[in-house]
Amino acid sequence: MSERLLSEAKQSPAPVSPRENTKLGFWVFLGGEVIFFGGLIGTLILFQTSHPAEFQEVKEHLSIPIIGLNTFILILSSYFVVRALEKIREGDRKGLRNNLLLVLVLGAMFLGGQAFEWTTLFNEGIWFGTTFGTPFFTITGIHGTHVFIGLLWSMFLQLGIYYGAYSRNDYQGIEIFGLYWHFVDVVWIILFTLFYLVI
Amino acid sequence: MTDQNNHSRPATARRPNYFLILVLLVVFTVIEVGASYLTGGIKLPVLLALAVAKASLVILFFMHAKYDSKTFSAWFLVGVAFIIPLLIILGFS
Repeated sequence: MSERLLSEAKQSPAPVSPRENTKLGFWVFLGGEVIFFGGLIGTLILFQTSHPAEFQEVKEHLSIPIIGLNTFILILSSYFVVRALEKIREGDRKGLRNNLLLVLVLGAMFLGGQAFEWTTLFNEGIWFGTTFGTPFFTITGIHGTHVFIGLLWSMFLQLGIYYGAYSRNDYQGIEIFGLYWHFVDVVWIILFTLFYLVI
Repeated sequence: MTDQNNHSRPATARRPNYFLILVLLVVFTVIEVGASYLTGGIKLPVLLALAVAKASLVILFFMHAKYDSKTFSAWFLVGVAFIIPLLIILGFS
């Protein structure tokens, strides 16, 4: 009996230490974001299932190679975020700064790609108010706003690095930013599939 | 940053091969784009499976859900558990 309890205790998740409360709080926030974006995706599914023909018509206006490249850019930026975290865990502040700069550049490139896509669709008569445009511009707009907030956040981190913040023993600010950025990446992975590939 | 937030990772902490994860994500994306040209009933399950695989790789390895306390990811899963039934119902409506 006691051996079984001991074995179960060993397998149970590690408790969250008080110093990781911020991280726990951020995961709770991300749980809320899942519900928020899930609701938006639910709306998209409703539009898609009730007007399949309209969505099919738009397919020829979507540039999958360009958006595929944009998806690659966002995934690559996520890679540089984990590299930034690894660098500061090793005490390499210069590496942290450089990797976060790459994240900033790639995030800006992603938003540039989104702006190009929006402009192309607008010039072809697809905008808010059309069956495809309403969920598309609303959801990708909200996602793009999240990316923009991430860019502002990364600039704030650069400022912190400039003024001497973060070290081998103090990197939770970078870790929390990483959680946010990766979550934005996860949302795009789902949106890319639903908006561009499934229809 | 307060002292409460200061911490260092244990020397024994496992490090995933992040570059391998990146390569997998890119490969899955290329397969996804190719699969988007499929026709018939196989297209949707293949695309959804690839999207779920990619999202899982990011959450497990880039967000460290595989290595951190499961209490963190449990909160994330609460959100997922709440929304998935809704999406399934809407998908079949």
